[in-house]
Order: sequence, then C-alpha cells, then structure tokens
Amino acid sequence: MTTDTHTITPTSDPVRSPRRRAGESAQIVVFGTVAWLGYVWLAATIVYAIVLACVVRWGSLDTSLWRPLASGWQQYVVLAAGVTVSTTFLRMLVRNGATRRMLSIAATVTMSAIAAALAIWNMAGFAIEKVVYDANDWPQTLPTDAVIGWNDLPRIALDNALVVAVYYSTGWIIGCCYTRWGALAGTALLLPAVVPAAAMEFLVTPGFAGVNIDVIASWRPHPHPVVTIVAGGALLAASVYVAHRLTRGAPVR
Amino acid sequence: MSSSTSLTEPTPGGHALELRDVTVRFGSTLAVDAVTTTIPAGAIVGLLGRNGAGKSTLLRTLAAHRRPSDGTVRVAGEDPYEHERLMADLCLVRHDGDFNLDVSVADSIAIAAALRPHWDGATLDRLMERFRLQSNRTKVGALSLGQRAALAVSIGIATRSPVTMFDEPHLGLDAPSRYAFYDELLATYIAMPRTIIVSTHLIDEVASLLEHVLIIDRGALLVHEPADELRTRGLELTGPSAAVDEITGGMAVLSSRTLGPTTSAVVFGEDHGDLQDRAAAAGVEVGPIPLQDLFVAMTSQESVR
Amino acid sequence: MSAGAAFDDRTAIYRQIADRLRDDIARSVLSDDAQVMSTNQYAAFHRINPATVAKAFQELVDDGLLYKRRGVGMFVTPGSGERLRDERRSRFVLDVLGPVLDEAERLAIPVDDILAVIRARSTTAKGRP
Repeated sequence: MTTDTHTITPTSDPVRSPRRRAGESAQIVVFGTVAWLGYVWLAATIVYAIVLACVVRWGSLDTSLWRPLASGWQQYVVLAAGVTVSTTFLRMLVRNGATRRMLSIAATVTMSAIAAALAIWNMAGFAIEKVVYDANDWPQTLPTDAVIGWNDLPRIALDNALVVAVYYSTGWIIGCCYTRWGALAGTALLLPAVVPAAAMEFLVTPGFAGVNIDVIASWRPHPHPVVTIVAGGALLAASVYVAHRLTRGAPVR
Repeated sequence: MSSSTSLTEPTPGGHALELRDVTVRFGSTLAVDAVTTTIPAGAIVGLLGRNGAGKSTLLRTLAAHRRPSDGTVRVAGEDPYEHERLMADLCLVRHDGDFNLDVSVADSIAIAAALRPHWDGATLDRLMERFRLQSNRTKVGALSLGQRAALAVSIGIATRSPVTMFDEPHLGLDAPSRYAFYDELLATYIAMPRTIIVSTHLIDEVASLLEHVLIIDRGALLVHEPADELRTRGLELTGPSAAVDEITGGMAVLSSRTLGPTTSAVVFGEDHGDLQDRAAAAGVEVGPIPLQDLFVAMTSQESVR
Repeated sequence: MSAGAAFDDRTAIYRQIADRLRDDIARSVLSDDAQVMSTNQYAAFHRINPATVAKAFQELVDDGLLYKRRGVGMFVTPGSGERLRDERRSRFVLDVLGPVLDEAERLAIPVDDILAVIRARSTTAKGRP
C-alpha cells in the first residue's frame, strides 16, 4: 500500500445542469424503448414484404394485408412500451439521480417520437401497398369494407398517431398503478386505466387505426378530423397528465 | 453545511442530513419508526442494524427513492424528494447494484456518467481494473453477484455524490474485494470529503473507518454517537451477584449472565470516574467490550427498548 | 486482516494513535523537528477515519509535542522526546512500581527480598556484553 493520497482534480467535463440531465434522460428513454420496439417494426415489415411478394407471385387479394399483418396490432406493443416507464426507466433514472419529473418529460418525448414514427410507418405501409394493389388491380379493402383512397393517407397517419400515443400513456398509467399500489390494486385499476384508450377508439376513423371490431365499426360514427384532433388531443393530454401525477409519487422499489 | 453547493465544481464537504420523526409504514408493518437525528456534512457514518431492522428502507428514504409515511427528511436544509439538484447529489448503492439486468455493463456506466454531475471517469476506470471488471456489451444480468456488487460500488464511488450511501456492500463482495472497497472508499473520501453512509452488520470491518455510528433496531434509532466514543461505552462488570446488581442499578443493562455466585453484566454507559472505584471497592471487575459485542448485546435485548 | 488491524477494538482509536505517536517520540523514532506523516497518509495507511486521526494529532499539538507549519505539515517540537521521557520516569514510580509494591505487601514479601531480586537483575544486565 502506498502512502500517497489519490488526488482527484476537479472534473473538466461541463457539469450537468438539470436541463441537460433532463435531455439525457429523454435520450435514455427514447433509445432504450426504440432499441427493442424498432425490431418489432422491422420484423413486421419483413414478414409483410415476404407474404405480399408471395401473394403477388402466386395469388391475388381483395383486402388490405398491411392492416392485419403489420398495422393493426402495433398499439398493443406500444402499450407494453408504456408499462416500461415505471418498470424499467423509473428505477434506471431515479437511481442515477434524475427526478421523476425528468422521467415524465422523457416518457412524453418517447410517446411523441413513437407516435410520429408509427404514423409515418403506417402511412408508408398503406401507400406502398396501394401502389402494389393498384398495379395488380386489387381493391385495398379494410375490414370495415371501406376502400382506401390516396386522400385517406393523412387521416390514417393522424388516427394512428393518436391511438398509438394514447396506448403508450395507458401503459404508462397501468405500470404506475402497479408500482404504487401493488398487484391487487393495480389489477383493480386496469379498468379505469384503459378508459382513455377506449375513448380514443371512438374518435378515430373505423378501420384506419385502433381495435376495429366490426360490430362497433358498423355503428361507430366517422368523426370529423377537427373533432378527432380537438377531442383526441384533449383526451391524450388528460391521460398524460394523470400519468405525470402518478409518476410524481412513484417509489423506486 | 446548509448552503447550496455550486454546480461548477465538485462539492467537498458533502451535504448534511436532518431527519425528523421519519416514519415508513408498509401497510400495517412499521419499517422505520420515528427516527430523528442529524448526520453532519462530510462524515463517514455507519448504519448498523440486524437484518430487517429497517436500514434499507431508511436509506431509500434518505435517497429520495421514496417519501417517508410521516416526518421530514432534509438534505442541505431542503426536501430532496423531486429536488432537481439534490436528487443528483444523492447516490444509494444497493448491494446487488439494483441494476436493470438486461442493460449492458457499458450502458449502465454510460447512464450514470450521463446523469451524475460530479462523475469521474478516471476513478471508475481505476476501480474497474482493481475489481477486474470490463466495461463491455455483457449484460449486467450475466455477471456474478460479486461482479455486480463490485460494479455497483465502483459506479457509486465514481459519482462522487455529496451524499453517497452503500447499503450492505459486504453482501456481494468477497473479503479481498471488501478491503479493496474500504481502501478505495477512504482514498476517494480523503481526496474529496463528502457525506458517506455505509450500512452493515459486519462492524469490526468498518469500525475504524467511521466517524459516527447509528444503530437501529426494529426501525427505531437506538444510538447515534461518535464511533470512537461508542467504543468506550460498552462495559462488562463481573463479580459477586449482589455487588454487580447494586452497581448496575440505574444503568442500561444490555445483558447479564449468572454462574453460581458470580454475575457478568454488559452495560451501556459512561464510566464516570467513580464507577471504577465503587466497583473495585465491591470486588467487581470492570472491562470494556468490543463494539461488535456491544452491538449484539444491544440488538438482541428486549429491555433496551 | 481487518480494517485498522493494529488497533484494539475496545479503546478509542484516537487515544491509541496518540499513544503510539508519544511512544515514537519518547523512543526517538521521531526525533526533534522530524516531520510526521500527514493525517491523510496516516488514515489511508491504517484504514482509519481521517477525523479520528486528526483528533489524535491535534491532541499532541495541544500538548506542545507537535507543531504545524502551514502548508507543509506537522513536526516534532524540539525537546519533546526528553520531556516525554522525564514524564514517564516520574510516572514510573507511581504507575509501575506502586502496584508492584502494593501487591508485594499483600503477599507479605519482605522488602529485602525484592531488593535482592532487583540487584541480581541489574548485575546480570551489567554483566551482559
């Protein structure tokens, strides 16, 4: 053992301000989520491309393949991603000195990023499919019997973005309930937790996004885009607010 | 030291911690029971207690990982819960590291480096080498418990947090690693004094490192004393039963054994000069007992409470 | 091997450190104006809390056995060794010889017998090369 002391010179790194740490937190959550979510999107795209190529070569279609194969179930994966806010990132960030508020901001950024990415991805999927179907003279029909036209694409993007975002915030809320109140209360709170997601389903165009159960679709209205944007936006804001509040008091277990 | 620390330089001295009636309940279980004490800035403090005494819960509350059910925690005079600056200055290292197991070693380090204002990469590199760890793509979950614990204490020391807490670091570390940890802890403390809390029940190993000792049992604070004074506070009196009983009357008797006409009693208290004389006059021998024995006597006795 | 292994775990460590320093000075291991280890070096070497070490050093400074030179370190005050040896000589009779003679009295050992033992020992000691 040496008798000289270890002298640590003050770090020359720029010391991290709360703002800077909030930015780092957002990066951690965005990359930590997209790191696995991206593989899901990639896998869905590849499976779809293979199936579509086979059908083009050997068969024919009269309904959209993108909808059931790639687009229609993404919101459930995103719901799981929302749950990881409290199960994975709460611990990761707070243990390293970030505040829960930084986590909430990071989760909101992540939610927006995922919603935007999935909206573009879905729109692109339907668009490419439309080109292929048109070339083969197949109708690109949805389970609601609607046929997608080129001018439907922006609406598809909007509806997908809202549905995906609200599923993320729903997962976030569910996770927080489990983290704060345990398994029993968490399960009991599942029902109210999914209300925002269910409500959002009614604000989007049947078939474009969401659960798309035919029974519901048949009597569900086709909301005006302004109604969807205003009511859907308010709904999303409310659900994110609840998630923020729940996160504020969440203990690190 | 209640003044806020500058963000532009490391914070020698650390933060003081003030606890007032800090209580934590889990349902009907009382984990921490109205703890009131002050931990001075820049001290190395030992938090001693048996398994399940409430050490971890108390540390998690101090680290703002959770709120107390009742009472207040003040770090540098302010409530640390959700405090943007203070949360960054509080670091709690749990014995298993409390890692996200599916994150790689390199990323676990990168996350701490990104979020800790006083991060010192050079110290981390040195510690990683000393503990024979490598910063690579291996998932933390694939490391052994010992490697995980070593990684955790390495990161904890490298954060140079003004309040750094280690919850039972001995659990995952083998003996050579423990002494390496104690050496490094002292070296980093000397280089940059800060408030350090180590919870343990292996008192002998850490006793000389400590400036203060807190003993908790069943959630309640039994003792908070300067470590060096506590060493002299445990006394064993051995002699004729009646004489021992008479001398120890009014003192805190932690344990006592009787063999025939002879009684041996462990008491907690100060030797006010006359104790030696009175004991000698009554034919009672007085001797000090080691800290570890004092701790065992204190936390295994009902009457202490 | 335990932290601070060289120290017993029943007495205040700062007292043990102070006693050791006094011993070193009395035996001239640390001579006049010799620089003593810094508290941090001492703490790191013996794995002891620096505040504990500082308390011991401060006690010797207060006693006038050590003096500080700002920014340089601590040094042995000239004459400290002699002073400590003087103190110990005067305490020898009281602290060491006293209990021995008390015990001898209790055991009724004649004073002459004791003197004989002492003389014999000192002759043996002198007779050694």
